[in-house]
Amino acid sequence: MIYINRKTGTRIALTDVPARDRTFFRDAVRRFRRNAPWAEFEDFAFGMGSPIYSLRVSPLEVVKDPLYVALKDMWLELGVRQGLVAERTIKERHNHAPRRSQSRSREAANRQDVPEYRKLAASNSSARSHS
Amino acid sequence: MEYKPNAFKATLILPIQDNAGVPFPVGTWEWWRDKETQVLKGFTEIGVVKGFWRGQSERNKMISVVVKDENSLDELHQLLNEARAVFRQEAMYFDCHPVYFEEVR
Repeated sequence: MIYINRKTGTRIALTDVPARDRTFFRDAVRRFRRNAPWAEFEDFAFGMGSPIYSLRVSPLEVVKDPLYVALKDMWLELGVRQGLVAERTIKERHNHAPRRSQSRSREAANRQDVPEYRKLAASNSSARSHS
Repeated sequence: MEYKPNAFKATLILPIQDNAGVPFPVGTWEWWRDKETQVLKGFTEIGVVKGFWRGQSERNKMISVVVKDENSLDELHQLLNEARAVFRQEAMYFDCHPVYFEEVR
């Protein structure tokens, strides 16, 4: 199963994801497609019922997990779509070519001086999943 | 049954827009998401609330979290301190109080 967001250039392979988490991921994609309210999606994806907290890794490692990265990408896109998160600027898009792997999340986890990053090239498309 | 306090409940409020009413950039929220996931670990209730600050009406994100000890409260406090800089705020709302907590099964 692969998560692709053509708008941001994000491509995440969800290999080795347990069946239960795949079901959760598909549910998240459905909610994303129907434009679920930002806070509602956040509660679903990152709330107490989310499988990301049962991952077999430490809290610091969770943010590198492909499932978490895919959920976060959808959450951010919903925020942009609903006007609650600012779209990347043209300068930001220009300075950073699309990154097409989950290594993006590792950079995110290590980054300290935030808001200046995650400037991926944008086009008109939306998230999708491929089994 | 006794309900003696065995945890703390803290409330954090984050602005959804900056002081000029402009939404924060993707990078800001990505930073927050990672931090919140690492520090709060899912024991949260999240809601969007409307608040007022010096006469300005604002939309905010209210986060309520139950933690076990004062070290965890310190972590939250530190998180908000970092968030204050990232969200470019003068101050961030934080309150906490002892509570009885149980996962009733």
